[in-house]
Amino acid sequence: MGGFFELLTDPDVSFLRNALLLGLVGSIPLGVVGSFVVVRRISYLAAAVAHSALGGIGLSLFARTELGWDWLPPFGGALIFTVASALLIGVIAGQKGQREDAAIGTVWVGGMAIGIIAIAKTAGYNDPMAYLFGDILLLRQSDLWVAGGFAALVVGLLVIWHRQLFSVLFDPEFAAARGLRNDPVYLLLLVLTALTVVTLVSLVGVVLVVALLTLPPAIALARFKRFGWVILAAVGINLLCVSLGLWLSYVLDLPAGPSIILVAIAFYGVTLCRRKAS
Amino acid sequence: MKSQPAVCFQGVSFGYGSEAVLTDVDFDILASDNVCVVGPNGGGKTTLLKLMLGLLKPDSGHIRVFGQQPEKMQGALGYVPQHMHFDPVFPVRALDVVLMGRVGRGSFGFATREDRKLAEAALDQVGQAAQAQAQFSELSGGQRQAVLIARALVGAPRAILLDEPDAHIDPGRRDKLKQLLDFLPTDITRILVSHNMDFVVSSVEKVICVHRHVHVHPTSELTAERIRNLFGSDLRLVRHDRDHPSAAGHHHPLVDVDQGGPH
Repeated sequence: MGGFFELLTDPDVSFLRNALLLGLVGSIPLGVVGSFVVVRRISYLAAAVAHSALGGIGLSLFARTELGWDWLPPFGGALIFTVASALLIGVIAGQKGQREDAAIGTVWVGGMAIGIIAIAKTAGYNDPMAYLFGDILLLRQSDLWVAGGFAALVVGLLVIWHRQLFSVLFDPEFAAARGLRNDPVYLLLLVLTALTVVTLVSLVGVVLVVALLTLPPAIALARFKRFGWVILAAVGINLLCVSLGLWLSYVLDLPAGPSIILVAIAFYGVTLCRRKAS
Repeated sequence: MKSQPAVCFQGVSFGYGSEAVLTDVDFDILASDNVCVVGPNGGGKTTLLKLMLGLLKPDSGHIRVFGQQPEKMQGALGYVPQHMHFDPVFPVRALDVVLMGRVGRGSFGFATREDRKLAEAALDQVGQAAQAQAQFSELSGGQRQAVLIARALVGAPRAILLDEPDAHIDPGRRDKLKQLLDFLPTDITRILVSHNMDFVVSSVEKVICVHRHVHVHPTSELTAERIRNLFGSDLRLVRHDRDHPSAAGHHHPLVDVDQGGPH
């Protein structure tokens, strides 16, 4: 334990400190947006949006190396791709007679295929595993600032729109009769999901980030009946998972992303057992 | 004051795809009217309500709600939907549900203290003040319906539209719901949809009969023959000719319609 804290406070070693800070900052939008995603039961949709980020990451790596587009970081590519994916799925889902599941599947695997091909065609060595499952050695100080900005943006937008969103998610027909347009409000949730996912992709990767979006709210829902408490608890559980997971990865010399996710799964398992026992 | 029409349909037709549901519908509902919309299942009752609410647009004809297009008056209408397919694990209290009746396009940020006060008052009005903190999913069918009526009332609507509020209520609890509907504010337009004429509250003044076409009758003119024409000849009609004391002290004979099932 002592070594972990020494490393965190060592001014010459920043990667662990950056990882912890990024995890803590990202936990807030993940817990807040994840709570809306889970009560609306669209975790599969969030997963598709998250996986599609690989397409943006791959294309931005390719553009930087092959086209000299140094202004486009992998983070920016992931952002453009996930927001576009969220809008695409949302628009298709809003059209009568369209298969939402087909759109989700297409965005999910399409994004990954584009990402892997773009990475393969980029000169030099780029390990796709780092983007799929996260790599704390890839983190930079600037990621923290960007993540902080995103977190503030996502939480701010939700503070403004949460009542409309909550109303539409609970009873879309009544909300429509009150003059709320369902589709734009639903699209807002999808775009916020995309922004949130991108915040922590570099820490836990496109595959694992969905677990932090959905497991903590699911755990919180088993204990709390008020939505406000569910959100606060989900944020708290995320903070705990990130802190414990990073500590475990240091102590047991494990990859950070999967360690964080396994802690979240362990909490969820305990919740399920307790629910079964009661 | 009964001069201004709350709802005005002029030559309205509507269909889902090629299937006509309502054809050439003309009628007025006056402000402060208390009307019941009746008709067979699939006859167009819910469609009629959704057209009033601006949730559907007519294929032809004009609809005005308090003199405006329906979508411009959505804040003025309190709606109690027929089916609420809510998620039983959705973390929402009765008070939260009522507060949704205060949410509109301009609702940003958190609910105000006034919103909460009005929501608590609306719950009190429907006799559910004690359930304010209870989970919505843990309430009985009757309590849920009362909470949904409170949600419709909390926005201070000029009209309230209830779509088959008795549809999911145990027969034993219908009387309570009936009492509740009898005590809805009389200064707003009350529009109740039901296919169960026995449920029609005693103070209803007009009945709007819907079966693709629409006919409006004062309650006292509603005869077994008219009901038979509306619902079809395979229906069993039971005329009780019993008197229901109205809120104003007048008496209206009501007709019960049973859709063919054994008694």
